[in-house]
Amino acid sequence: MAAFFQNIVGGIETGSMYALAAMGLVLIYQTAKLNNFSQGTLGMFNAFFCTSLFRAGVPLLVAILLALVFALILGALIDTVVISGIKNISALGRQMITLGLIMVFQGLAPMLYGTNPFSFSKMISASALDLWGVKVLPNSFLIIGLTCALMLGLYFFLERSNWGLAVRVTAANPMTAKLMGVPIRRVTMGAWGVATALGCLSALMVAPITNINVSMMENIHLNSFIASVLGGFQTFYGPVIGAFIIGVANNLIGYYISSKWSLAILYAFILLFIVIRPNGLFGKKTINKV
Amino acid sequence: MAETIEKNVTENAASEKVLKVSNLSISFGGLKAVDDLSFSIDRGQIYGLIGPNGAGKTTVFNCITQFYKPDEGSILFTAKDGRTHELTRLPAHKVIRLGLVRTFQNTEIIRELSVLDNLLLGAHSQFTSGVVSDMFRMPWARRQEKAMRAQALEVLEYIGLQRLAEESAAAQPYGVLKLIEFGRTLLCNPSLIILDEPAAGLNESETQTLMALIRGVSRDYHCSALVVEHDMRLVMGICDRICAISFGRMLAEGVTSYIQQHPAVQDAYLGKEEA
Amino acid sequence: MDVFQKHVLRNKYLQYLLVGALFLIPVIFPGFSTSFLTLMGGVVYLAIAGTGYNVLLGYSGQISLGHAAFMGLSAYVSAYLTGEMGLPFGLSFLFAVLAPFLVGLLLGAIAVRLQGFYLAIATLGFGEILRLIFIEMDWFTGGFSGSQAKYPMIFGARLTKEQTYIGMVVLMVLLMMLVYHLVNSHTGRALIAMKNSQHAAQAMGISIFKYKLVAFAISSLFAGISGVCYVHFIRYSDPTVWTAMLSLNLIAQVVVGGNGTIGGPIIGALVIRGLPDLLKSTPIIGEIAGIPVLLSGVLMIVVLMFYSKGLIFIPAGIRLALRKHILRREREKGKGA
Repeated sequence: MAAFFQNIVGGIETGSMYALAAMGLVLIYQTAKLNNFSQGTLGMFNAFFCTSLFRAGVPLLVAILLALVFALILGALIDTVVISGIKNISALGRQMITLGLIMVFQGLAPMLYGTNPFSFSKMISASALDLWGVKVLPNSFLIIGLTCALMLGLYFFLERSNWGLAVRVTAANPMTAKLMGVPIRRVTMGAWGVATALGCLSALMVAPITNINVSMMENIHLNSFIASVLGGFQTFYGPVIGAFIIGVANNLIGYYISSKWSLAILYAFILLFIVIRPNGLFGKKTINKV
Repeated sequence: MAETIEKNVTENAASEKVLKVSNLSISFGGLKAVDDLSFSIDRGQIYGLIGPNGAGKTTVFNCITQFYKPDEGSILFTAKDGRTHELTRLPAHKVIRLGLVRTFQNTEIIRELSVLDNLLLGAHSQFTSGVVSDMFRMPWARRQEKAMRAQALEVLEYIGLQRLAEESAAAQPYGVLKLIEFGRTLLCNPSLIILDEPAAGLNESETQTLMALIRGVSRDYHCSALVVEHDMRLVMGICDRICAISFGRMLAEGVTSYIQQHPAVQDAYLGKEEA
Repeated sequence: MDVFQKHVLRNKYLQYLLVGALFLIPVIFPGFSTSFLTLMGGVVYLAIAGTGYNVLLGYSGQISLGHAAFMGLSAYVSAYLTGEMGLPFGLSFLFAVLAPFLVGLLLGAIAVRLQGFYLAIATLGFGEILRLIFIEMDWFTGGFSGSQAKYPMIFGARLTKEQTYIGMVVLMVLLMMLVYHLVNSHTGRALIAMKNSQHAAQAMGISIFKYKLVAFAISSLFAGISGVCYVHFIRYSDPTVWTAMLSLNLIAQVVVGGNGTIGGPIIGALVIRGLPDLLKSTPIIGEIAGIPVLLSGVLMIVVLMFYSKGLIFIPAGIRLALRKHILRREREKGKGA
């Protein structure tokens, strides 16, 4: 039984990283109607930035905060300069620009920070606590706690605040939102900023496990996409729940069925699920009007 | 008056029906969009469907062409070979093979293709060559393409657009797009053409051209037409019979002159005193 | 001159042959290094995959992030059949191409129910499953250490690297012609109609189910051919090649080159694949880590921002601008007189 819970706690921890990234994806998707393929790469780049500050003698906490602010600005800047700022481009073209961004930042990272990976220590290095046989690192508590706090914060922001309303209106219908005086350019800019910061946080959480290198976010990035589809892209909470499901299910399948094939089995199940429910767990069916 | 109506009814009963809609009903989320509607169209007849905004006219069209599956009722269609089919059992893309073809309210022209290619799209159901023979441009595929192209050019000439054949459809004004869409319906060897507001957005002279064309096809292509239209002059000018509906229910059905003077129809259009 | 222009310059077959001839320059003329040939081989196999992918994305409006895995599938199958099983190249080619074709049909059936983003990610998951199989089924794929293959054996003679390359170019030109035929037939019109308006397509008798399958099947088939080319040209395949990133690059290639044009994917392959590799081998730029990728990324963004229709339309754009310029000059002259 302890093993079961051990797997669940571990799953929630990795799920947290997926959830942060998935939240970033869905924020941009909902407001700007595009898939940001560069989210993982941007997270990686910002993680490099954070460690370089830390190595230059900035205290870790300050370095992290500075990196988050940097990510926020970088995201907003990207939206203004290369995404929303341009006209006469198809939706697909816009998404391909995010692909170009991957190349840009995968080129910039080794140029600025060299080709060797950076190591990154856990924020709390204390040893594991034993809770009724389940061993949990304090750092895992931090990751899970921080993620849950952020998700709750975002939820209340979206549901209760004026700006949250602007985001939801833009998500529902950008055209109407624009006509009703919602500053959608600022909304998408903010979405890009927050999403990039979330991606950065996700990267910093996984950094102690993978080290900071160019491909560190591949796994999280991929799973955050799949989580978004599993949960349903039309809601803000669906992808987050999808992320936790993927984290936990992967661990459980890996432990009880096959560690070698766990991801393949999980993806196969999700694929089957999507075919049966084409809009994910929480997505609503869209009616095609003739 | 009553006598002429009586006479018409018997005449209709004797001639061949191309479409027979009976007890059609469909609802969306509890709202009955079409409620127990029945009417039928003779071969060669131009039939009008009128009603105020939101009366369910387009929904009727979508039910007939199987874009919507009706909750109840039957839609019988008699093809040129004399065989009768229950349309509700067919998927939307198979309807055209029987010779039933439609246009759309806001014109569905493929802007990426040339005017001629848009017309050829209407002939899609007539092609028999497969994907592989298309890829290798086999002689039979080439022959068929050539024959269809000639036929499409003929239709273009018929609707007076032959000079635009190779032009891009995206560059054409709305009136031309409406004509292209109309011409597209003629390439599937149709027995019934369903026109959803063919004159919407057209100016006076364009409407006149269109009226002449619709009148002409029943003669030149031996097919019937079902027209939904707001332009009363067009409807009254070309239709042999009219069915007036309101809130998905039938108000009146009969020859054009009868509908013109029907009090319920006038009420629905002009509004009752208390409404 | 007019006749010449109409019948020679505008002749698509001649154009495609000319493209093929240009690609053959490195083997016809001396002085090109082997590494340059390897680079061009990389462009050609991607051009083949891109030509097929263009049928899916450019003409049918469907998206897939699983096509890289299809390429991998046929690469492994061909390597396994010619290597472990000792099958003749022709036969293994057939089987190797059939495998992604069948899997592509399955994916097409899924695509009937899914749209846009959901389809993209579902195909991504599908591709990942295949990639996990490449990693874990090591008796078949060699796992992470990869799988070896040799240059093709045709009629008992082993081809050289140059001959293999020529074969790939010939194949590419042939496939371009086939796609040209396809998109100018009723099948092609049906695909384009489906992309633009599913309702109009259905009303014209086009079965969405059938044509989604057709689009997926053709593009998967081409991906398969591309995979076979890769494995018998590079003579090696490992799971790090067939990632979703390669699928994304296929999309980028088609979009940057010119979505829905025959030449677009070829130009796209040159830019997306050829350029970074070329930059890597240039003296100063290639020596700083990251610069080649960075420059290619910047170029891609710039092209998309300012020329979103694709690079292939640049000559037409220049011609239009020139004509406008000449017209204006003449008008001004007229005024002056």
